[in-house]
Amino acid sequence: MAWDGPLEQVAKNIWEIPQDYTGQKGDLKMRVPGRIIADAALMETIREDNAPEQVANVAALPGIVGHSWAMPDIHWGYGFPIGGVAAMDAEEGVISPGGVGFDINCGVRLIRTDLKREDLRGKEKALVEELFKEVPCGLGSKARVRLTDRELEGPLTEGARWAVDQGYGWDADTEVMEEYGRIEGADTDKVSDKARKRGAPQVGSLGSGNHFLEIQKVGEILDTDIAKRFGFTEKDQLAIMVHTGSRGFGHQVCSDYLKTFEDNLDRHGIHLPDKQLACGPARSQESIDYLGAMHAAINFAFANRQMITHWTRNAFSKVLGRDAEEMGMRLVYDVAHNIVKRETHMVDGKKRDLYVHRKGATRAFGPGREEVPETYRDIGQPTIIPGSMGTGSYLLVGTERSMQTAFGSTCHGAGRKMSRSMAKKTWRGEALIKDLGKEDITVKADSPATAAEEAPGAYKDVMNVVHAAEEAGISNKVVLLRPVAVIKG
Amino acid sequence: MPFETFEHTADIGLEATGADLETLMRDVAQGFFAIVRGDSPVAEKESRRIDLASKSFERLVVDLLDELIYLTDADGLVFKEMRDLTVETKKTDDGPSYTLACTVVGETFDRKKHAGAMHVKAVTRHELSAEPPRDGREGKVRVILDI
Repeated sequence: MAWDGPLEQVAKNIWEIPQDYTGQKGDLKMRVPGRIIADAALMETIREDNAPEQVANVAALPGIVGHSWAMPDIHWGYGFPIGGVAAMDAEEGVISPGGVGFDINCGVRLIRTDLKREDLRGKEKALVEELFKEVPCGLGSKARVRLTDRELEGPLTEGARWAVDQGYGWDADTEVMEEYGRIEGADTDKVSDKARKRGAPQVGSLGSGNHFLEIQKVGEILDTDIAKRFGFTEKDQLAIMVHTGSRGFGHQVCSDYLKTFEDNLDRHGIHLPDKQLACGPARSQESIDYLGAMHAAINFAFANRQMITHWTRNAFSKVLGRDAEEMGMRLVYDVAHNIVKRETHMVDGKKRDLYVHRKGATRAFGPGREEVPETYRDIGQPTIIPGSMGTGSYLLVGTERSMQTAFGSTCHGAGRKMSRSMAKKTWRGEALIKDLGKEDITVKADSPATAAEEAPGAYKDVMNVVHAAEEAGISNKVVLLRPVAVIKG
Repeated sequence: MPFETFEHTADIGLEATGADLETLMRDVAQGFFAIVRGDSPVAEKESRRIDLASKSFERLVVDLLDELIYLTDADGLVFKEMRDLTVETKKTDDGPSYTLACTVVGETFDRKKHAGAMHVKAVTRHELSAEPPRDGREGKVRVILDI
């Protein structure tokens, strides 16, 4: 369904949906204008689905501050658009589980190495097989470690730090993660038995769908000084990208609390343009409980990515016969792109305490923010943008301008433009894997169908997305990474 | 057509119809089973009992799909059939409430055998509509699943 509502360009690559737009049904009451970051070409694609209407719907939520934002990779989601950013006043605003999504703290981490592409020549297949063995992935994948219900408290409350304490990784890893790999305030009493039961066997598993583990090489260094600080100095240097989240645990937490929020809407007198936007006042009991459970899911995902990092290092060591330390397999950063966090931002010259919902959007804080790890604080936060399978991915850095634009946020990926079933009808998995092989990219997928669903043609071009974000000033390109080998769940 | 699927950019939609409550709920379940298993065959080796009490018809649909997603993920199962289904309604001050009881049968997920299977994460409320059969008119459910 194409969107034909009003859009006005207000700055380079920034388009506004005016506050007086009343929506497709004519009864929408936007509290703030909507704003979409895109260039003219991307905007044409964005108008092809109904995502801008979702930007307008989010603008109607109580307590929203500034603008309802959409990043250049925006696409039609459920409730919130994928690629949406909405900041709510911490006192007068609302918390919405739909503004986070089902896969809480779905995110990406990047590991750099001292290795070069040639160091892997002839060993790609062996490494991919080893990774497939080490990292549980695919539909129904269960972790190698079976945690008891009691042991699950560790990842839920301590996140990546729990994993490191258990021997999965290095102490230095947690120094370069969003929230240092552990968010305060996890309340496991607010987590259902069902979430625990789904989560316990899945800590340390990649999952399926668009989640992946990819070996990449530096294709181009776009900012030499900052790239050096992030650990990249030359073309063809190898890196590893991990994209996964809180698995069934997060899905269950979100499903559980959607019902609680729905059941209390009338009591709070909240009327919504879309049921998936269910929300409650930030100070309501359901919001407090949801935040407690959601923080446990955030920690779950940090622990999950940490364990996968450990097994990835093991696989490299085994196949290349060298220590991970010796190969310089250091973590660059770990970012979340489905999350709500309490943050302070300047709005109209005033400091405001806000709950920033990022659904398919990445935090991209500029230099000086105390949330950025000390080692990067003078240059800004690293932001990791995975591209579609077999294309390219980016390492970006947050900017000062980003802080004044979309609450310190940027895009999160290429952005899907074709449904999975259509992709399966359009491409054949086996042929696609063969074609990528001709481009020197090794792909191992849990099933050929998974590969077809994630065909590069089903996504927007990540380069256009990242370029549009840079032109709008919300993030700068640092390194372009090209795929060498892909593990698809 | 008891159920059919429809396209949604990043998700998948399911539409089901039925002349009575049992038929409609079974069609919803069968649609879900078909989305999950794809073109893979499923044997009848495992069964699970489902008992639900929901405050509205729309919530009953969500509760059933939530439960099926939970059993699929937590117990690592793929389902084929829904058996011994009963759906009952009770009048309350807030409109009719519903209870549902059934057994679902299938087998443990096998990566090789069920290569065409798809992971369903959750039930969205986006454009959700759930009309129970009423006064001889067919009931209809339309729901988008996050995959």
